[in-house]
Amino acid sequence: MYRMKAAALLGIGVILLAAGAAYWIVTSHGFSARAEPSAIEAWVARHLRRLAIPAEARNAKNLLEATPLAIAEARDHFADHCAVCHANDGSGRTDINAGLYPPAPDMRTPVTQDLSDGEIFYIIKNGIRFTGMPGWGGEDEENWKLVLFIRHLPELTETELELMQGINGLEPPGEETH
Amino acid sequence: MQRRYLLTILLAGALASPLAMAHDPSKHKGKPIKGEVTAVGASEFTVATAKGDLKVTFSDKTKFERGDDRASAADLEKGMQVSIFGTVLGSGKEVVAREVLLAPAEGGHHHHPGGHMH
Repeated sequence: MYRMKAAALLGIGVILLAAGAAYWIVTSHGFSARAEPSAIEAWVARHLRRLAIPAEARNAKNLLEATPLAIAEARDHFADHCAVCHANDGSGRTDINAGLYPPAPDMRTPVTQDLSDGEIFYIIKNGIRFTGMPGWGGEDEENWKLVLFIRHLPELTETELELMQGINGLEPPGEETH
Repeated sequence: MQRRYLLTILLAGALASPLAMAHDPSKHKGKPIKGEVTAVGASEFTVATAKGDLKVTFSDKTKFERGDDRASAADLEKGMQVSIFGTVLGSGKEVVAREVLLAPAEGGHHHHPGGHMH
């Protein structure tokens, strides 16, 4: 009986401590979207996202072939709709992304490249709650082409970047954007 | 009487809007690539552009237009000025054409009264 009471008290203590810590974090750090999420927060968010994607969607295969035309069509689509936040090279180094919480990741890195094709497709189509990523809906074929292009991002050439810049006028990351 | 007036205006507006849109360059998606045809093949042609030579491939899905008229790949000629709307492949040296606008033929501009939509 004594043990149960002690365990209950300990539980309540932990909850109160967590609530106090959350209160302290919010009141002392504010609600700025320009802050960098902590490593723990990012880890929890990514795992929750993974859990939230249905297994069937996660395992879906991209049946489109990565032809030069399919990649080029998706490149133009990406330049038109996605690059304003993700940047032409997928690095996420844009003015808008600098003010997002959490910011979109560098899609050339394992954070995105290690996702399955189905997961990337699901995220494009449905978005991610509590982030700046909207659910675009759209036609499945176009979304699967975008998956091909996202896979291609680590190998993007200067010529392709120039073609994208010709569409959206975005400055390459790292250069002055004002 | 007033209702008939309103109906006529609305009907005229509905009929006029496609005509007003006919051949409006802004109705073509994207920026055109302009150049001069230097060679013509069965499913491709080459254009000389300000940035160099470009191979243009086309298919039966590609639309050819001359002014406000429909045209076809058979109308392509060496030396002709063209504007191409399409997808440039990653190499930057080849474009898959969606629409090809041929420069109007010299000595007159034939206009289809109905126009067309893009």
